Parts: sequence; structure tokens; C-alpha cells
Amino acid sequence: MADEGPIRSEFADDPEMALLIREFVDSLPSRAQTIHAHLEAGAHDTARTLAHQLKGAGGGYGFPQVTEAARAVDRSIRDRRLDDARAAASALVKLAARVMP
Amino acid sequence: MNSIDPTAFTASTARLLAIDDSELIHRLLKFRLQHERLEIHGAINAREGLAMARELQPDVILLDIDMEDMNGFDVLTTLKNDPATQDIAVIFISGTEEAMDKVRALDQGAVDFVSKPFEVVELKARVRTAIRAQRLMKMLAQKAQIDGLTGLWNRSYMNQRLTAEVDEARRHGQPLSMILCDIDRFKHHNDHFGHPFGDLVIERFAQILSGGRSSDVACRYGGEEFCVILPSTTAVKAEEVANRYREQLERTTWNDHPGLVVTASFGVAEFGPGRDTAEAMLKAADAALYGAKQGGRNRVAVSPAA
Repeated sequence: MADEGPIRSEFADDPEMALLIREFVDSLPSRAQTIHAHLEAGAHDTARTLAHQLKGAGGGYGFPQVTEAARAVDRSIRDRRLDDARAAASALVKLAARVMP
Repeated sequence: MNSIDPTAFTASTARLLAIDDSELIHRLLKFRLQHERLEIHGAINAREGLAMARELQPDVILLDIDMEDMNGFDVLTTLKNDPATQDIAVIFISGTEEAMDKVRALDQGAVDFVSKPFEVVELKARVRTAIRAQRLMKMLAQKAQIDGLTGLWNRSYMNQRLTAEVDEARRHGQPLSMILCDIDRFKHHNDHFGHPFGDLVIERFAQILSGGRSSDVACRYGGEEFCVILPSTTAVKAEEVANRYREQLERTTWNDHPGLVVTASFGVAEFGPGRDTAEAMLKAADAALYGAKQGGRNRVAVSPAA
């Protein structure tokens, strides 16, 4: 299915961006896991800060899907919808696994 | 010479400070702005950002709103309340979706607002525009303190600067002198040879005064009267400097009026007891200048120490 395939950066054709994108992609799964883990541990503010940062950066590295997924986490925590936040964080972890340079 | 370079606001490298608690954003900004004529610095939290703003005096700050140690609005307020940082252009760069946040930022004194994730081309254009506007503002502010005919600092600047130098001299125990000077028989030259020649005399004398030591500050005090502030200088040394100026003017030749000799008189005063404010120094220098005029003009008189 298309929504389970790899996700590539919108800037994948820009050779100047290659190294920067690779670093982002390499760090993304652990960032998403960290957000998820903080949520599970009840550290909502920390989880929200990290999600907020990812929301701001994702699109800049050519991954608007990451921005959207992180936004869902950020908003859910902001609105104290913690079940939604955990679901959104799980979705972010899955998405991170599909992101390719 | 106290001149303004009209191309300065486009030609030179500008300094940018990004204050954002996301290192992902810092890396992205540095990379995306690397081909701009920018020296880029980054602060990873508000506290560090405020300290760097004071130290680096950047042309523009890119400021995040949501930071853990202090939010961007409070950072902006702190920047605007500090005379050392209040003129720095601040662009908010934030993932906030609230329109009121943008309005609040602009109302508080930010020059622009860029949403994250940002479009690179748009960000570059907004940074360039902010820098250009900020430098033009600086130029205008500076220009308001420059004398139009001579390019020297004007009286308003001289008053500020002399007060600041007096404070410095008091704080650090350094000598400080000033020279007040006046072109002799200027009204006669003006009436006899015409105002264009009078202007020429003023311009030449201004060139002489501004061609002195780089640490000295030459100002047009008004009409044919000038003032030079000489930091870290005793009255003895200031008298030598004044005599050089005097000799240079006396030796100046005037193409349209061969044989004409134009001179000036000088009064020197040094910071010290009884002359420990800008007003008192000016008064002492003025009295010395009056003495030089009374003594026959084309001479330097030094105000006696109290």
C-alpha cells in the first residue's frame, strides 16, 4: 500500500542537502521513540516540546508528513487528549521507520 | 572623516543570531543560509541568546517562540528594554498556528514573522529585507547627527559624546581634553568674498580638523565654530594638536584669492576639578577661546587648571 511505502525527502534531488537529510533520517526513529517513551512515562511537557521541535523541522528537511504527524502529537498533548496523543506518537514511530533519505 | 558609506547596508556581511531550542533548526538554518552574505551564530536557549545578542550585536535575530527556559515574547521584551539590543531587528520564526501570536509579536516590536516549517526562499528574502531596513534606520539615525555642509558630527552628537567621554574619564581616571575653535573674521570673509567662499572656508577647515588623530572627534559646533573632543589627552598635548590645526589653516592657499590668509583661534580645556562636567568643560574652553580672540586671534589659549 502506498501509505506503507518508503517516504523520501522532497529535497532528495538536491545533492547539497544529501548529508543534512541523511543525518535527519538517521536520528528520526530514536527521536520518535523518545517522544513515545516520554508520553508513556507521563512526561507530557517534555514529549510536547520534542514533538513541537520535530513539527517545526520536518518540513524543512523535506518531510511534511513528519511535520503533520508531530503536529498531531503536539496538539493532542496541548488539548490534554492523552489517548489521542499516545496513538499519534505510535503513528509517528511507524512513520519514522518509513522515512528514507 | 565622519562619513557614511551609502552602500554599506547592502555590501557588507551581516550578522545573524538564531535563538531556538531545536538543534535541528540550527543545522537547517546554517545550511540553508550558507550562501547568503551572513555570519550566522546560534543560541540553543533564551538565556544564551540574550547574552549573545548583547555581545555580538547582530543585525538580525531569528527568534523562536516556544522555548523551555523563557518564551520568545519575554525574550523580545528583554531585548527591546535593553539600550544595547533594542535596535536589533527581530524576526519571529515559529511553528505557532495562532494568528494572535503573530499580531502580538509584531505589536511588541518584531519586524516580521516566519512560520515553521519555513520556505527557504521566503526566509532568505525576509532576512534580507529586515537587514536592509535595519541598516537604513541606522543610517538615518546617524545622518541626523551629521552636519550637512562639512560631514562632521553636529552639535547634538557633540553634546552626547562629550557627556559620555566625561563619564569615561571620571570612571577610569583618564585625561580628556577638548578644543573649541572659531574661524577669525569669518563674517568679513563672508561679506567680502561671498557666501560660497565662506562655505569653502568652513569645508576646508572641517577637512583639517577631521584629518587629525583617529581617536579625536571633530564636530561642527555651529556657524564657523568647531569643537574637537580628544579622549585620553592632556591639555599640553591638545595644545600641540590645536597648534597643528592652526598652522594648517594659516598655510592653506585659496585659488580665487591668492595671498589671502585665513586663520582661526583655539581654546583648550582639560577635564579636572571645576571642569568635571561637559558643561563646565565647554565653558572653560569657551573662555579660553575668548582669551585667544582677545589676545590677537590666530592663537591657541589653554584654560588654566583650577
